[in-house]
Amino acid sequence: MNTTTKIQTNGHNKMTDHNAVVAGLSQILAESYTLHLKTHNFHWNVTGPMFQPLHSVFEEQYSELAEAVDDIAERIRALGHPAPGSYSEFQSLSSIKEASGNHKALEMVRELLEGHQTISQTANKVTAIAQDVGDEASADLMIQRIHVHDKAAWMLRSFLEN
Amino acid sequence: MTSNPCLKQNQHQAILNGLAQLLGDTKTIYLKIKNYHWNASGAIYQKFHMMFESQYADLASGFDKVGDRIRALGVPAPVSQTQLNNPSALQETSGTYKSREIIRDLLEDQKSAIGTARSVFLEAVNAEDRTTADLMIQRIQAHEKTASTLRSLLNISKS
Repeated sequence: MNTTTKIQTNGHNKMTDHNAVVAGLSQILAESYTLHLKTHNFHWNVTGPMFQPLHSVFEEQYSELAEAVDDIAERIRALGHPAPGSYSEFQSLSSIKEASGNHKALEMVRELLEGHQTISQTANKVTAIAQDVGDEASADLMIQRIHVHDKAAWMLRSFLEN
Repeated sequence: MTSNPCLKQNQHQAILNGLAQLLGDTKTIYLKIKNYHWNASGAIYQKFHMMFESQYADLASGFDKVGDRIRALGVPAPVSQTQLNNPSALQETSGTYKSREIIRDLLEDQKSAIGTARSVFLEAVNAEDRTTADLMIQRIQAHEKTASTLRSLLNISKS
């Protein structure tokens, strides 16, 4: 890393570095909201003998995601940028695709597991970008999100093991 | 196929279409309020904070109840971005906003949701689906209460 990427003495990051963090946080926001909706969808539409436990785990997970998007949006605002907050922005920013068609219970679990893994990987990249420019607050938020997504992934994975 | 033997097929479908639209309206307003909450600027931002919090809670609970009712009528709940956005009469927003624009826009959305809930109510009464009719009365009451709060804010700002 060369000396031109050092943070300024007033604590603000250089604008270009800052933009990369905001872009990363915006992607995390879009993916988290998309996964929130997908999880809520599956909460209602799951069927079969696993209905009760999955209905309940999905509820826990979509509720957590609904709160998480507020923290992520607030961080983007704190960095002085507008936060994306519409379906069309989410669709263009998110690498997680919305739910389509009818799924069997275990397919739902697999899709959500993939979603959590995707966000965990995105958050890992954003952590590195934030740390590179000395934005520890964004890095810290991303590390918290990785914890949550890894835990969610573990719970979902346990349904797939027989 | 109808899960309620008292309902005729066409009545059942009309009620389901209306509920799907109300589900879309509800989640779109919810997301718009999040968007406004995050991106609002102007002096009365702080005043909005509490109002947004209480509207979130009501919309989340309304969304759950309408979705549950759709499932109880025996069909999958339509809950993807495309499905929620398509039936909804509301326009989504992006960018940053001024306080009065926000109130006016949210008031229009409440009126649309009330209109949707009223038409589902009439379909449900017609089909003697009292459970859906009762839920629609609750949603109309909730949206009317929010609309009156928003109207008061506009009147206060005018004087």
